[in-house]
Amino acid sequence: MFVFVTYFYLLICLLILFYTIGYIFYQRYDHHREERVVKNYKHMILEQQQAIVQGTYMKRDYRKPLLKELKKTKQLIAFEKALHQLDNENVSISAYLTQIEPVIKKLVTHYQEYDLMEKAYLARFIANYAKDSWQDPLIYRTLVSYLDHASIYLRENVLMATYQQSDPKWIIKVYQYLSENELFHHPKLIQDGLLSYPYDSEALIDELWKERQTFHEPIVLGMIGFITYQSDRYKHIFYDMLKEKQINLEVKIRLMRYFEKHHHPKVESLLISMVSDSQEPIRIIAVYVLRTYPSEKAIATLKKALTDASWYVRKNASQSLLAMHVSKSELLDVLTGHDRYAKEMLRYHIEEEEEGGMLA
Amino acid sequence: MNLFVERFMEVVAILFITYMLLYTTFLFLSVLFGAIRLSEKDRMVRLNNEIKHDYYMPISIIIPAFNEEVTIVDSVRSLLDLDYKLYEIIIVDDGSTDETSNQLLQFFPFKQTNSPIHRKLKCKEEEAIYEATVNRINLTLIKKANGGKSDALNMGINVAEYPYFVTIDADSLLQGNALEKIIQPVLADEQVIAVGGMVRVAQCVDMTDGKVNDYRMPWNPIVGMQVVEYDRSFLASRILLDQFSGNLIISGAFGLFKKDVVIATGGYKTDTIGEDMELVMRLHTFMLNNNRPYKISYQPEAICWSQSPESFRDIFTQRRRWYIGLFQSLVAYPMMLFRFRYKPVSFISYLYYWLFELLGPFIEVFGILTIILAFQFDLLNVPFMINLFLIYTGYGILLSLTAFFQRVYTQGLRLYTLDIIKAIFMVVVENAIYRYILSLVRVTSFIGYKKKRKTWGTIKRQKHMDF
Repeated sequence: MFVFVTYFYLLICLLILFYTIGYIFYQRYDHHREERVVKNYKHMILEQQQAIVQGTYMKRDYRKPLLKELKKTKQLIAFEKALHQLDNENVSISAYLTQIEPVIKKLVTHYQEYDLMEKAYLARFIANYAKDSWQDPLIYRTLVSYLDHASIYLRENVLMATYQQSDPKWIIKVYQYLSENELFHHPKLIQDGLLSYPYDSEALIDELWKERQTFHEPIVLGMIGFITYQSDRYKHIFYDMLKEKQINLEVKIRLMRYFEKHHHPKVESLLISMVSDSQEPIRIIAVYVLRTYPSEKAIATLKKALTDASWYVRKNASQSLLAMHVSKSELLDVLTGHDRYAKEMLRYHIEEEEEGGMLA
Repeated sequence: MNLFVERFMEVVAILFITYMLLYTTFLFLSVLFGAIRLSEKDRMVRLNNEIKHDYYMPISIIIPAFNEEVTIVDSVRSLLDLDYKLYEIIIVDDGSTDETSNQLLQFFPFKQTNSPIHRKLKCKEEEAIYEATVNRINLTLIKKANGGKSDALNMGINVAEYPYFVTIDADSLLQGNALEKIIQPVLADEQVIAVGGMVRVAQCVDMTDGKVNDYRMPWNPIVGMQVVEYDRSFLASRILLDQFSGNLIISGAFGLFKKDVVIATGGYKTDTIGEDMELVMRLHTFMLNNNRPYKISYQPEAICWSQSPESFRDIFTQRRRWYIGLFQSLVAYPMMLFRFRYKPVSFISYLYYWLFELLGPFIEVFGILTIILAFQFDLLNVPFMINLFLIYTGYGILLSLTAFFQRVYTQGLRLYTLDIIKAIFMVVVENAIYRYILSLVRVTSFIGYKKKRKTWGTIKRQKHMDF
């Protein structure tokens, strides 16, 4: 029996080996074939681009065969490589891209029948070239329909594509789909993705914020990160939110960080009260953000925080004090005091600052 | 007497056939799943099914070092060229008796500081701390009293600023995109707490600025056989175990960990030799005990090039250490099997390591002794035995060759005829002779082993450019 089973395994493994070797040769052949196809596409795109620039419209009998070819994923890969190479050569192809929008509309519908990976590829292709060229709602409505049973890559690529069109509605639709289906999408991906939005980001922020109740936490966290980078108009809204007691810890931390970048006098007293919060992460961030609110009260709070039980609170407090350019003499009570941790931490940061020549 | 021996041989034969059947089935499934997953991954990369961003999570790279004066500067230099936006490098010199720290101090603009260290994990006292910034990357060098590799790693974790850390060996080179690749499972799934990268033999590669220029099979058969071994392990069995988050080892040469989880479990244990496996076992049991959802992933596209032993002496020392480490880790966590017996990580991974990795060498040596005994009593069916040996070896050769060619196509390497010939030779020798020698080495691992000895497993290093 053992011999029989082993022979069976041997046979299957032999087939895998032959497949692998065959695939290596196929890869080589395919590489050469692709190079030829890319070259042909480049030539064709340049020809069309030139004609469009000279005032000629793209003919229907050009779009039809192009669509027929691009329905084959391999052709689409070669086509994208051609566009990418032209982009790298600084050749302007924007007029050409605008003209092929009808092809993309049909293509996106056709790809509904394809598997998840191919759909993800098309979505990424659209994300790469949609900016200012492909704005038709049909494209994005169809892309949103791809999300059923989508992989993380397809979800991410669909999102990247929606960031490249100007209507926030489609971004909101994707976020709502993710939230309703409790599909995790990392806040960092949400934040970085939103930062790639090339149109009016303030308008986008307002639209997104209006719908925030319909989004789940990772998306809200990403959005707050995005707003922190892009807008200082949310001081009052975030301040009011920060005062709420029921607010989630992660959200609270993100909101606090907003006020490090965007100064809001009202928030100082709130931050000072947070330095004695029972939750360690809140205290850590509060003493960190206080560096941008230099006042006597803030300095006194930070000096007190140098004796906090948490190492990170002490570390951030000493850094914040130095960032406020508090002089050595003002810190003398700590430096000559009895708290070993506070002294140690402060001394190190003073040395560090002195090396940089920043201390007064 | 003859009847007793005959009965004994019958029982042994049944046990052996069962054992070999299980083992060949595992290997078969490894190659099958490996082939499917690699082909799928290849398609995913071609079709842009990747999480690609300009900014990823910040990462701390921790390099524990002991007497690494030959390679340390080149290793750190190569780490400064990675395609990654935000990372720091922490080198922990664990009381080297050579010029490891001095080499670093001469080459990089280090300045001594009194940076306070938050001792979340217990480790030996630091003697000096140096900091530098090169290409906007923060470098930290900690000189500390000798305490072993685990102790040095714990110090590195204490110093690390970022929420994820990567451990690499002091002689390792990371491929330019290694950090970008190894963090991708974390971005794709919030439950991922650790990711293992693929470790490959550095003596084969010619690299500039993190990019592979060329790759050749080495002439040294000891190194060549390790290339074949690594291919089989990293491109087959780890991929199979990864299907159910069941890898019990993340090589110390290249792995990524979520810092707070590692700290919560107590960091690296200092009284074990196989600290890398022990940590992963502890992460599994910690998360299972606390009913916390988690994943430990394997990312074969994240590649690290690590130096392999070039002499029999070095390889025997290395394998003895690995084997003792395996033993220590497996016996320390029997709860894996008893408490979580319905989890695949227990009844597949844990049992696999017990049966085939830990007991395997003993079973193989016992098998050889039984054959000799059977021959003595004229109970050996010689043609059948030869047939069995040939089938088994042929099967091993086939699996190794498949892994070799899979690596070629998944990593887009250029294939040379001479390399194919060398690979076939290495694969044959490895399966027919080398593996039995290593089994013997493993069986004798415990001779001269002292439980509390915390030595570093050093092998003779070469400068990277000498390859």
